[in-house]
Formats: sequence, C-alpha cells, structure tokens
Amino acid sequence: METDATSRPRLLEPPGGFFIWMLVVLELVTFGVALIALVVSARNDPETYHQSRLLLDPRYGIANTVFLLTSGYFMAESVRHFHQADRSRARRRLWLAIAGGLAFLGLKGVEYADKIAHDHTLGSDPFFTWYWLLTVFHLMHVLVGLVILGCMLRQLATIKGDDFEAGGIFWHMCDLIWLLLFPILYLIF
Amino acid sequence: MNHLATYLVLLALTAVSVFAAERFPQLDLLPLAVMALATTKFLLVAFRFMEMRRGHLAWKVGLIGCSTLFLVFLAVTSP
Repeated sequence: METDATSRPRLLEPPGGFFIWMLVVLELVTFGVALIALVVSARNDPETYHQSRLLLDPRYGIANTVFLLTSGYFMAESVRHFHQADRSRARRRLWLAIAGGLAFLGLKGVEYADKIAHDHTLGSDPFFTWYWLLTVFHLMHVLVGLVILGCMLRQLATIKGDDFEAGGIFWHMCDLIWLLLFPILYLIF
Repeated sequence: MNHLATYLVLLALTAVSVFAAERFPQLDLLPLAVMALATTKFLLVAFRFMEMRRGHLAWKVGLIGCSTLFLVFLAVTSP
C-alpha cells in the first residue's frame, strides 16, 4: 500500500501553524524558567513559603482550573466543528469557551480583592511577590486570549481554518501555563 | 480518546492531585507526585486539545522531553 507523502506531518507545519507554536514555546520557556526560579528561591526559605502558601485558598485555584479546563474543552470542540464546516456549533462552543475565560477572570478578581484586603500584596513577602508576578502575567495572557476569541467570534463567517486553529492554540496555551502555576502556587509548598 | 473523555480525565487528575496535597501534606514525594500529575495534564492538553498528536515527531519528542526535564528539575530543586 502506498503512503501519500503530502499527508505526513511536516516539521515546519504543526497544527495551527509554525509561528503560533513558536510563541507557545517561548511563553512556556519564560514561565518555566520563572517557576524554576520560584522553587529554587523557596528552597532557601521553605518555612516562609509554606506559611504564605497556607494563606492562599486552594478552592480559588481549583475552581479556576475547572473554569479553564472547561473553556479549553469547548475551544477544542469549537475547532473540531469549524473543521467540519459546522459554523453554527463552532460559534456556540466558542461562546462557551469565552464564558469559561470570563468566569476565570471574575474569580481571579475576587481572589485578588481578598488578598489585597488582607495586605498580601506584591512585596509583602517573597512568596506573594512571585504569586502576584506570575498570576498577573498569566492573567494578561488570558485577557489577550479573550480578545482573540472575541475577534474569532466576530469574523467566524470569513476566518480561515488555520487562523481559527491558531487562535484556539493561543487559548489552550493559557491552560498549559495555568496547569503548571496552579500546583506550584497552591499545592506543593 | 475524544475531547470529552480527555476533559473528564483532566478533571479527575486535578481531583487526585488536590486530594493528595490535602491528605498527605508531609509526604516527601508529594511535590514530585503533584507535578507528575500536572505534567500529564499538560501533555494531554497539548496532544489532545491542541492536536499536537497530528504534529511532526520532532514536536512530540520536544514537548515530552522538555516537560520531563522540567519535572525532573523541579523534583531535584523542590524544598
């Protein structure tokens, strides 16, 4: 049986396109290095990190993980329906993905307000400095992701398949980063 | 495994990692176990939701290799 050479995956053409994956790799390396620096820093002062970590309510982190995973599921389903030329279903799933992102933002706002009310702010101790830097940087990615999803929704009738998939990959990148942030900030210290 | 099954596995792994962290906070292996679960979730999202399973072998090996290295480094350096 012959194999069609054009159907084989190509190195420079990953799903969604080369440039979006380059962005994903760069972002993951940036967050990865920061997380390693956080863990190394905690090694020098484990008691402070442990006591500060106990001041975080893991229920916020768990709920936000569920929001982002649910949103990611609907995004993946939206891309699948888009490729099947079912734009009506793709639109509904995209709306649900956006709703998950907005729920994440809302709950993060509540958590930030709680931390500020208890004076656990940037600079109050090394753990909370990392907490604010990493989570706000992640939050900025979520905000950009929501703008991208909004644009995809607006241009759903005309957008190309690769562009739609690339937008979805950016959104999933926010999941990927959070999946590493959540256990390190809320669970392991 | 379709997207729904992947999603359910991701939720289950999240529940397991939270349960382990709450139930066995003093366990020496806890950081490694929790981060191993997180790495599994990371790879599930990358391969199933981001469709990297359709990508070139080099991307797959790179993703698995880098996330494993990250996990090992965290395990070695964690307090």
